[in-house]
Amino acid sequence: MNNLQRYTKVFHEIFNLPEEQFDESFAFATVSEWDSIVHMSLVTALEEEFDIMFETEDILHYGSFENGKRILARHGVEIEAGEAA
Amino acid sequence: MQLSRFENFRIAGMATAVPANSVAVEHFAAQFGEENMRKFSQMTGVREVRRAHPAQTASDLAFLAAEDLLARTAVERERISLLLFVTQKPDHRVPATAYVLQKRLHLESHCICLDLNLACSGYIYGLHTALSLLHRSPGCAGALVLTGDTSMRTLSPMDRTVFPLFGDAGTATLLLPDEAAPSIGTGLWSDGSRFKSIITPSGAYRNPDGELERREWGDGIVRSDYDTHMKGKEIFEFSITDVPAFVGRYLADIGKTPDDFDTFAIHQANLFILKQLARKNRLPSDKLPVSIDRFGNTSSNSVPLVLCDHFGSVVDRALRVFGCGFGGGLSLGCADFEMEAAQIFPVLESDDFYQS
Repeated sequence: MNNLQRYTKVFHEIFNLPEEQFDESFAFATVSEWDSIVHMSLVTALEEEFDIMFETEDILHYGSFENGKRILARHGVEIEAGEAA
Repeated sequence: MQLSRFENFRIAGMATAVPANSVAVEHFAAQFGEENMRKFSQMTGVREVRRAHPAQTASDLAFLAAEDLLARTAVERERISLLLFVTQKPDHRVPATAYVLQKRLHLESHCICLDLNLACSGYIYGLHTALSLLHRSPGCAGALVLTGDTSMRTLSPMDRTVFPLFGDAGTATLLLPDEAAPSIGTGLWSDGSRFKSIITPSGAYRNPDGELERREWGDGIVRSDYDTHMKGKEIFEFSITDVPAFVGRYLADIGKTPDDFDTFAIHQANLFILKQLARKNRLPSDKLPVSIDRFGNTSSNSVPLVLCDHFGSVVDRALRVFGCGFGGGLSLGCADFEMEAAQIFPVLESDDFYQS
C-alpha cells in the first residue's frame, strides 16, 4: 500500500465516507461531520499511521484533505498525486 | 496575566461530592451511533459521567462536599467568615446561591457570601478571590470556596460534541490563617473578546425572546437558544495554543519548572487536550492525574475533583501542587500551592437534595 492509499484509508476510517469523496473540496469548513472531536481523531490516527508527531500549528491548520498532504510532506511523508494508480 | 502571591493562609482541606448515578458513554450510542461514541471515548478519554437527579442542584453537591469537609476537619463553623460559591447553575435567579448555602451550613451572620459566575477556570478564580478578600479583611478567620455545576441542565441532548462530555459535581475547599504556611500563587487571564466561544444565548436578559424550540444550527447540531453552545474549533484552538503558552509563562514567571511540583491538577477538558498540554510543557505523565475517564468534564470542579480522586486516600505526604483551569469567558487561571495529602478527602457519592 502506497502513502496516498494509506492516507486515504485513514480518512475513510475516520469519516466513514467513500474514498472518492476525498478530493480538493474536502475541508473542515465545508464538511459538517468534521467537528473538533473528529479532528482530534484524525490527527491521532495520522500520527499513528505515519509514525510522526504533529506540531500545534499543523494540528490547527490541517484544514483540508489536500493541505494535509503538504503538512505530511514537511514531516517527510511524500504523497504523490499519481500514487494511487 | 495578573500574578498574585498570598502569604499567611493554607489550604486546610478539600472535599468533593458527585451524584451516585453513573452513565456510561455506551448509553449515548443509540442517539449518536456506536462508532461515533467509540471515537468520542478514545479522543476525550470519557468512559462514564455522573449525572444528578433532576431535583439535585449544583449547590446540593457543593453542600454535600462542604458538610463532609467541615466534619472531617472538625473546624468550628463560626470560624468561616467568607463563603464563595463558584457556579453557572444557581438555585434561583435571586438571591445568590451562597446565601442558601450559608443557611444550610449554619454559618454565622458575619460570614460574607457571594457567587462567582465562572465555569472551567472557576476554581482558581475562586481561590484567588477568597484569598484576596481574606488578606484585606483582618477579621476573617477562614473561608470556604465551594464549586458546583450541573452543566447537563443546559446541554442539548442532540449535541454530540458536549452532551456525553460533561459530568456533575461539587467541591469544597477550606482556607485557614497560618503564618507558617508556604505562599499560594495565582495567575489569572481573561479575554472577553471571545465571550461567544462558549455561550448560553438566552435565559437571562440580553435575548429574552430566544427560540425555545430546538432547531438545526449552522454547524449541523440541533439545539435551542437556551442550550449552551461551545464553538468547538475556537475552544480547541484556545486549548492547544493559549493554554500551554500561559502555563509555560506562569511557570517561568514564578521561576519554577515541572520538577518543582509533585502533581499537575489540570482542568479535565478532554484527554487529547491534556496530552497536548503535557507535551508542550514537558509535564511528566506520572504527575498528571486523570479523572475525566470516570467523571467527564466537570467544569469548575475539575481541579479539586482530580486531587480528591487521586490523593483522597493518601496520608503522610506533602504535595506541591500546580493547578490550572481554563474555559468560558474566555478565561484561564493557574495556581501553585502546597498542602498535606491527608487533608484531601475521598470523593463522596450522594443523590441527596434540598427540599426547601
